[in-house]
Amino acid sequence: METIALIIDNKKISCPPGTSILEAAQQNGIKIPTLCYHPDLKPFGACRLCLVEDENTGRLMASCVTPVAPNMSIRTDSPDIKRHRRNIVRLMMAEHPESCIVCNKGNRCQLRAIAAQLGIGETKLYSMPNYKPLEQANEFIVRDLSKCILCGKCIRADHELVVVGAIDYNHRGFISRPATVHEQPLEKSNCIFCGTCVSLCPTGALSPKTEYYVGTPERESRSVCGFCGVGCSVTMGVVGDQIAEVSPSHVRTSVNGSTLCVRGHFPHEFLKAERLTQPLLRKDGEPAPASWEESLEIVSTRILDIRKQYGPQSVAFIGSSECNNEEAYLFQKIARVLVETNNVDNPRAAYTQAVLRRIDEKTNGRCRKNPLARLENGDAVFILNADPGEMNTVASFYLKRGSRKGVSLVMANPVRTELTAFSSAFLEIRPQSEFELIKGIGALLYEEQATENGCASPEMQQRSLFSDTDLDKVCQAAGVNMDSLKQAANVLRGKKVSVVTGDEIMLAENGAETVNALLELMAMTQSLGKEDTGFYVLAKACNETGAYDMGLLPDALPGRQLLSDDSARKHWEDTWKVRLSPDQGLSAVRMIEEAEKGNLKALYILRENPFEILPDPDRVRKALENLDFMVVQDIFPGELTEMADVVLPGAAFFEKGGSFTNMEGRIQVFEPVVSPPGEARQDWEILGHLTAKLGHSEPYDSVEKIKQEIARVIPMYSEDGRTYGDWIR
Amino acid sequence: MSKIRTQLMLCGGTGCSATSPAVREVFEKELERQGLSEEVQIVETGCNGFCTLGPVMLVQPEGIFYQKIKPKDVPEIVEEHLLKGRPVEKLFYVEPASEETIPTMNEIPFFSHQMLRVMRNKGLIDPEVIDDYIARDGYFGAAKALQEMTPGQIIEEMKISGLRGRGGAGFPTGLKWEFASKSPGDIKYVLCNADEGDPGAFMDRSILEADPHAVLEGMIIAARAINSHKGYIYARTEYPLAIRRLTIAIQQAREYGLLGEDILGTGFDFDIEIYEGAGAFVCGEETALMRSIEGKRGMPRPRPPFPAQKGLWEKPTILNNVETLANVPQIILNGGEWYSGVGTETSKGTKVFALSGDVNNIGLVEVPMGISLRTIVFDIGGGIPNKKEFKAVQLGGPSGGCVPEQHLDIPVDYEEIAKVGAIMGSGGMIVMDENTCMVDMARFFMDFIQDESCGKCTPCREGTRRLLEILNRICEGKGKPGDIEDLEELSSVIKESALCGLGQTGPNPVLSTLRYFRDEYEAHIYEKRCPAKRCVALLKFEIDPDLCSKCGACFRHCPAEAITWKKKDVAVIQKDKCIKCMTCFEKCKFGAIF
Repeated sequence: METIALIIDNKKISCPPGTSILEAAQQNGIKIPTLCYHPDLKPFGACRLCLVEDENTGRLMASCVTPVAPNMSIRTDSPDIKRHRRNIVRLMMAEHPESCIVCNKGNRCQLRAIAAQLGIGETKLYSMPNYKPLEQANEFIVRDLSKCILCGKCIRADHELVVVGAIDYNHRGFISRPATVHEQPLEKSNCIFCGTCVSLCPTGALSPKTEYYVGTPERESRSVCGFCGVGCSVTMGVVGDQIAEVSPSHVRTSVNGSTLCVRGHFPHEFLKAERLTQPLLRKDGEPAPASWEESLEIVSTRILDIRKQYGPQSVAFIGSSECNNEEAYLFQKIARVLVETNNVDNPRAAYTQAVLRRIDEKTNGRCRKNPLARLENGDAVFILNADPGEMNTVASFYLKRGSRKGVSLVMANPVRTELTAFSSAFLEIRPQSEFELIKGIGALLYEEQATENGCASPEMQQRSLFSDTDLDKVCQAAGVNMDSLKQAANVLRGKKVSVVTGDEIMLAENGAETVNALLELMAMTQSLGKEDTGFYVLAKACNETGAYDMGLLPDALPGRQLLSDDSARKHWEDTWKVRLSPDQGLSAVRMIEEAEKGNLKALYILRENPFEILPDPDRVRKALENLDFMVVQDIFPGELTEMADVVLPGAAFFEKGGSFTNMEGRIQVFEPVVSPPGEARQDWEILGHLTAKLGHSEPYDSVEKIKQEIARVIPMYSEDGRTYGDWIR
Repeated sequence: MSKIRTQLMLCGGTGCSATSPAVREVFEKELERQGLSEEVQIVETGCNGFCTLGPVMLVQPEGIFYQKIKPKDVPEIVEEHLLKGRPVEKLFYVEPASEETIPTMNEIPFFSHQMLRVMRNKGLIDPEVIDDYIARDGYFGAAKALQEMTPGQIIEEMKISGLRGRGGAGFPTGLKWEFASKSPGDIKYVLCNADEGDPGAFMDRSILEADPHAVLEGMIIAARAINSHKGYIYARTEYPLAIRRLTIAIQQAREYGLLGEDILGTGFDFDIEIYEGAGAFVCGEETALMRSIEGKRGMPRPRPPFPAQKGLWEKPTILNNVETLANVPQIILNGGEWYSGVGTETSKGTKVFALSGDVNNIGLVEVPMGISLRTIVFDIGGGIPNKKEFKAVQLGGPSGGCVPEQHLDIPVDYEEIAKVGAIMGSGGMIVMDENTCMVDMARFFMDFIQDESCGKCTPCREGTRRLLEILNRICEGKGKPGDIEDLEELSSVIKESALCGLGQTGPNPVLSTLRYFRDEYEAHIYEKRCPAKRCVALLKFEIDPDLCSKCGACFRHCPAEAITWKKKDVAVIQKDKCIKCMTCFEKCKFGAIF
């Protein structure tokens, strides 16, 4: 490969053409101060701190925007450079309010750090602060533009990373500042409060609004956000045992890079909410605090008693797609191996998992991994009945960035969403008409291909799904006109197509067919199982994919294997050394039905709220009241814990170790950032103790041990665990 | 057959047009009344250049030049001159020094020292009639370029001519075109920078108003040279007349097949659109200008990549100034050798200057390169009014520098002007007399620059504002030791580290005044004294009895009744009543107030 050789600070360096001097220096361990530079943003050349000098020409240039050239001889710290840098910072400091002592940014302020580094205390200039009113009416972001140094990172993040366009420069010169249209407050602009700008701001101009803490966190730890299926990498700032703030981890290989969404960035409500802090046992009809030993003893004896008395089918387990992989695996193992029942489900992601299963079946698992980056760099994306902006905000950033880069978006949705404006074609379809619509688009593309080649290839002829479609009927069914349908097809024509959809397509009676049709469409456009396309199913909960992979389902085993598949069952019988019933267990809905009938006696609910996710809460309540024994393992008190016989306090995602598998299929590991409150414990730990009480010989005394087992027994995790680096150590 | 025997070339430039429409109206009536409408034609021309005497009119073919025509003068002109053949002497030009009356335009020193190439059609054609332009060999250059020359030959001719960018930087035009022509790509753009923003500069406006087709023709030739099919003229919104005439010119050129598809049957396509700026000075900077055309906030971006590689919408682009483009047709028509026959070693051809400030003949002048500044100021400009002393001339607008008396003999030449700390610039030339405070002057320009800084890069945004803060303090009598050093230090930072040309040249007003008038700064700071008596805060508002002629002018004009005076007595200012309005300073002809 072609390289360019140059000298930086007497060090011989070679790097590829197009590298900036700054990057070349950084790659070689030479530090150049910067304020407006960020690797995720386009170089801007505004702060001028990264000035360097070419000794050959004597020219000074901003290293962030100047590409390397052969035979350059760069000095990063010549006397002139140092003098200029000091003066630039001096000018900035003289314009900055003198409020460092009480500034939230504290020791993390980059301006302060650079001033200290360059030895600037007093500026010896008259202080000329450019006061602007403090803006803090909104819930999330405090804007103190007096402290703004015009690095433009917030504006560029807004334009380049999250593509919202809420802010831009306003005014000129000394008084110029980032502003919304007509200088309205942020909450009146189209700001989505993703907070991406906050984490990039080098000074205290933008800071997260916090009620409970002011100042610099004591320590920062990495974690994975648990608020949706994207699985953003976050850094949590901790003070004492409290999470003080959350920001993107700015790791380039992470899903989110420097972005985050409002839920992940500002989980105020979540952090402030009242928590379960000790096990509760129902005594004389009232929940009363109890010890862990006593509580777990009661759980195990009662479950084993009920199983003995009524058989394994009388016990059921409701897990959650918010459980991490290790918990999910252990939970279903308790059900299948120790209680010997398949009555285990995670109802929240039932439809998503149904879509995933169709895709798996049709493609033999070839579409299991879908890096979101393909949405940004591919040809075209077909968004069908999904609102990524609402459901998986960070994924929508990929789509919007892609659209800006020239990826064609075709969107078919019953309602307009934020992404409509980014689409090359938008079809406002009738609810549940997805299948018809895909047929229409497929037919238009099929027709074209068939006529172009003169005759349809044998492969094409097989695709009978699209071959005789009545387009008028399609338009009628979908409620779109022919022109827009044709326009949509034209946009997709000749392109590799990725698909983004949500679980709502499964709500229609022909949901399964819809998924098939989508796969057909991808296959016809040669987009299926390719390196640059993907089939994306939005995931509301953080571990929908993982729960599915771990077999937290009544009809499936870990590793996405069907219970009805004899060889798979045999494999798991050998692995676990038990007999597995080939009969499908109770789904959550069926559990309620059986509880109503009095057939189901005991229910163990892990991190799920049946009132929320199952239809008809009153019916659910009555059914649950009908149970002999109910265990609820959760983090928040509520109606459900009030009803439970035993309440086991678990941990929030940032209080425990484990892993999530995100909507891309990426396995992401995390360590506890803080300890669970009070006597609450990490959920795997609770389940681990329970396995022992239920008679499991091998103790699960560390999360690592569960991981090892998963990696050993689920081949795809053994593979992926290594691909993604840190899952298996 | 036309019976027209006389043409009245009435100036319709922006300056004259304040009253020339009224004059024209009366002319029309009078000619009608005297039955001369068939014989005498009124032509509304673009800017004549002698703006200070407006409205002006040239009577052709005699060449009689009338100045300061008022509507009430018109019947006399028609009656006496047009009917009876007796030119009206009271409207002739009077040479201020000799008080001699000069009837014809060519004899007036203001005109006789000029060399008209870019402005060759000024006052001679109706800018709104394409036939007038064609009659003066218009579009012959474009025809030659399109029909007889290859792009390579056009560029070669431009290189031979030695034409350099007239916007200020002086980059060789032929070279710029060559870079763009060599850049790969099917889509390329030709841009015309008509965002003239320097205070005191109005060359480009006048060219566009007087001869818009010359600019269009230059763009067609440029487009052919780099194989571009789309051009934009980025014009100031504040130039409504120029924009109107350009719009008419573009329309006419399209009708004549000189713009649009298949120009002159050569198969070459090129069209031009006007883009109106939104009033930011920085949009005259090339990268900011392009961003502005793209519909974004006009902010410069770093180079490389240069516009010749990645310009407007990331496509290869050339950007030339109005005056540069107006030179092109004649270079192509007469050859590069012809063009380079005039000028100095490194600066060829002519340059248009907008002469203004404390000078008798305010207006637009086109001079050959190499002529001395002194000739421009004193011969063409007619010297300093009110018998005051010349102090300095500011070249190149706010980004330029001042040239004091001792350097006034340098020739107009890019390099020679740079040597004395100024720049050729786009052609603004502001003359300053002895009453100008150079610190105040630097403050004025710095105020302009910091206001027009886009705010992107730190040195320009913070630095120019800081320079202004220091200058303000100095002018207010709050200067302190170390201020001059700070001015120098910060100026060097801004100059060497700012992102764009606006920032890099931003400190020039400070640097060049410090270079030649450091003593004035020192007087302000250390003696709390303004030698030119312009800085109000540094004035004592006292009357020097030795200089006072006891005339009482100050007493009569004082609006605050703060001055006591009796005949044959020295006036006295009562400080408790004085409102420091400066009226007495202006009224005292003897400089007795300090």
